[in-house]
Amino acid sequence: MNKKLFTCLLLSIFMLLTISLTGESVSERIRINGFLSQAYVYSSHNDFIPNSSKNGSFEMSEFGLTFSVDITEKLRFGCQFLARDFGPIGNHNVKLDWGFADYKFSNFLGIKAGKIKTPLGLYNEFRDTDALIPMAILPQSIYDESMRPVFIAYNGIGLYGNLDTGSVGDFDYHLFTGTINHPDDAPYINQIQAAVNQGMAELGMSIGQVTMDTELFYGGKIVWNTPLSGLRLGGTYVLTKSVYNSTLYHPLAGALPISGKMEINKTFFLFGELALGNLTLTSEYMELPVNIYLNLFEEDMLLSDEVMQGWYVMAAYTIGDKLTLTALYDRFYADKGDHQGLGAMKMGYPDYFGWQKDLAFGLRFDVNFNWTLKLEWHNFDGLAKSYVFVDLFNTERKWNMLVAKASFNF
Amino acid sequence: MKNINTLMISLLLLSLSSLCLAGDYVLLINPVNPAESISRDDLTDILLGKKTTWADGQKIKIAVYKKGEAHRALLKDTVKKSPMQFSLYWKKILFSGSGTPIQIVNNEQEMIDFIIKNPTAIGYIAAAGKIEQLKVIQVIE
Repeated sequence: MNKKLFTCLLLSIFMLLTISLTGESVSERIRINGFLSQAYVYSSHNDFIPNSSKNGSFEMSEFGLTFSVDITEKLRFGCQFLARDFGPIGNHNVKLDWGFADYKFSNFLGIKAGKIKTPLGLYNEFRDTDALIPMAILPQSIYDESMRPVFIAYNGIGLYGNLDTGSVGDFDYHLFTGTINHPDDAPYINQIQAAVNQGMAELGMSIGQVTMDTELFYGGKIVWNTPLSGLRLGGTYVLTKSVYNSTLYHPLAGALPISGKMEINKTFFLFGELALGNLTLTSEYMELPVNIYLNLFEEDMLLSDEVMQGWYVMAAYTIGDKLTLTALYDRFYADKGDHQGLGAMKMGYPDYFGWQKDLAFGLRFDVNFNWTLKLEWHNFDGLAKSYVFVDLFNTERKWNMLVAKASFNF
Repeated sequence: MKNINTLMISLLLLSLSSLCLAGDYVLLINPVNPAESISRDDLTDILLGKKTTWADGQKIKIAVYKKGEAHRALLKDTVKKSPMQFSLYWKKILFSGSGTPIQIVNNEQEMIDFIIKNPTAIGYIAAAGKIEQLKVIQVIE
């Protein structure tokens, strides 16, 4: 039986069984919600998604279905299935986005076990639900596709709660540990393959498909809801180590198994949000160190040692209850110590593969509680984040993008 | 002197109208619930899903409307959000898996039925609405 179908079936049986044990009707206990969205993306010069710079592209959409049930007063269960399309990624294959059991001992302590959304920054936990994010295209410095598989969700255990400290405000926390899934087509897996192949090319060697498994994944998020009305500040810390395996093709020795590791150490995200009446200001800052090693003759050889750096500021001003004007300034550097793109040039790319800046303006119209329309214009400088689908031999440093998106939720 | 009187009357009317706006909803609980009052901060935390139990440890069950004047007045008085912002706040909790969605009722009769059915429930109706069978709970600072 198909693994996904089996998972769906198992979850459904579990939910129905627990409900039948409590003696209440299914309709009274299960809450079913969902969302769907469709975007049109048109970009100049560079493809944000395949063909977006030619005739534009509709290959950006999401569909989610959420089930939640309170089994007892302290125990609840929920899951969400997500199908998304982002160019060649996703292709509307249904995946378990999150699904876990949650036992809440009190307001200040609860425990979750299962597949849980990683509590990263301000938007990661609901980044695929268009109505919940201010712009259709979130700041790419933090929420791009390249590192999405690392940070989207973990399989493991999380402790969470809210600590009320009276006059100082209150704190939301979420500590987590577990593993993460690395899909075979994750952009960083292709990067590892490219980096190793580049180092081996002079020796006439190359490597095949890379597969990756997590050895370690843990971290935490804390949010301080300050006593100043509308102001909250917070941070996320994540540490993960993964090992990869592949096959080295040697002209004389033939195929040899090889391995290595990817370490993402001391990654942190700092963020703040200030809501002043109809105006909301948000900002995030991130440093993400990535070390990639190749294990040769029992020795770890460092292939890549970079600290990604990104930050943005965003403003949203709501007129009435329905129309919101948004503005964004976003910056990302592939290496914190190399703002000039020298590392990119060493790899044979133009210097602007070392950074990406985005100045964007948007309109959001909430037609009603269920429908949302968005229209936005982005002016980019650089390609350090949006390189995945571009034609590497035909790129432009400065480019623009128009995005229109409609979404529905219930 | 006439100008001063006009000013005083205007100020009095203004303050009265403010009181009316602030009192555009009545908080209700089930009669078996021993609570007599609730602080505005606690009410805010209940609406935001941060406070989930009464003083005796029983789980708080709350229902809200999607829109309407009573709903708007309550949100303005507590969480400082519009009905749309409040709805988005709960959708973030729902779609991230952080919590079970808040109970929505469509009208005052559904709200009253909800509170009668659930001994640990809290809800609200417009100030002019019927409050028989239920207990009014005061909001204190």
